[in-house]
Amino acid sequence: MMEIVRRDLDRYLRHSAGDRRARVLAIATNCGLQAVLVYRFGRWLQRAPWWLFPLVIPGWIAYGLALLLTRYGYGIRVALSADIGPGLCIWHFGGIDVRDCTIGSNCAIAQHTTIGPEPGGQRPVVGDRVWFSPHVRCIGAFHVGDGATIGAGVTVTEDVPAHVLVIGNPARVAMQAYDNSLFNF
Amino acid sequence: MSAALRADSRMYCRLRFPRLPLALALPLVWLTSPGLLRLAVHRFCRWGALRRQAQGRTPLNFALLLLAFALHRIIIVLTKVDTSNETDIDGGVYISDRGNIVFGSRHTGSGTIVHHRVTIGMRPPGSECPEIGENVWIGPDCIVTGRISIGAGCTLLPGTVVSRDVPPGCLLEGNPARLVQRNFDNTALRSSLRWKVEAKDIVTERAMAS
Repeated sequence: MMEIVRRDLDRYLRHSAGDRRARVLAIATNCGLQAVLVYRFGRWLQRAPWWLFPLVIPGWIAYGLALLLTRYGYGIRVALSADIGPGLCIWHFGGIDVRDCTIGSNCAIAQHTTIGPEPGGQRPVVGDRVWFSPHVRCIGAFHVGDGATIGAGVTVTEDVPAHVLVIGNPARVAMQAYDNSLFNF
Repeated sequence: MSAALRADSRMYCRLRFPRLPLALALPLVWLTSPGLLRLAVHRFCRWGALRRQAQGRTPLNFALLLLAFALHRIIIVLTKVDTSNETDIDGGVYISDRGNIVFGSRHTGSGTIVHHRVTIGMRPPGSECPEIGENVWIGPDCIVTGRISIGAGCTLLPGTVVSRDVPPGCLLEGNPARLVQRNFDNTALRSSLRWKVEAKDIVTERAMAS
């Protein structure tokens, strides 16, 4: 659990690793980081053993209060039904809706991005190191390959292969073997 | 700062309450417009940051920094509009009351209207923020990214994604953006907030023409 949170924090603190003051500032000011931490806390509560109930019951109350801030205050909804690997990075805030999906490690999600299934459908599966730009809608049982980069305003309508750049609406593959490690690391 | 805010509030009055006298519309607008509050907080934060840059660390500047920080946190939750201190916004700009805006342009001219769910200035390393001219109309769900400049009097129809330079007076739509018309006059769009009616007129005109 702490290992996952540490990797989340590393994503935000890549320019100032090990700086205690920068870590405190990031947790206090970064809306996306707060939402990620609240999500991790909720996942931990779900899997906590039963004998920890004196801790878990107040924990759920604290989780609900924190949800008020991140979900209604910032508009970042990362539901506990989403299964997200370590190193999640959420940029900015507003209109983010992530639920019922499987996301790999070291992914980045920007504002106004929706990832989820169609009503009653299968969950979308997203690989590792995928970069979601702003205003991306990925709704349906799609598979997004490892290291893919989804451009701004794209509506994903079919499976995305690994290591490609997808732009435009309707979506098309603009570049094969596109490396997003320059801005997603 | 105050002159720019005065121009902003006039703009909000003109757009939201075009028929009310200014004396009545001004308090109404300050009480009911989250976008105007957001602009006021942005101008205050930017003024404080510039002052801190010029004068260095003094106790008064530190107090201003704390106040700006607190105001910024509150206004984010209230309006869901994010602006950065580097953003230079001229007076007389309308930022939508519906929020959900990420606003990070280098410079924005007066008379510009920014609607809700807009992202301006995505900044991955190696690129920079856009510059927006005067009297630009940016519809809902638009994205403007990269080190580009949007000319004066441009119109971005809803859902446009722009990442190239745009000459003045163009009408753009689509993702990726395509030029629909040169020398488009957007004064009708900018004169009210009933953009759906005006945008429908544009679409029907184009359908008639084609």
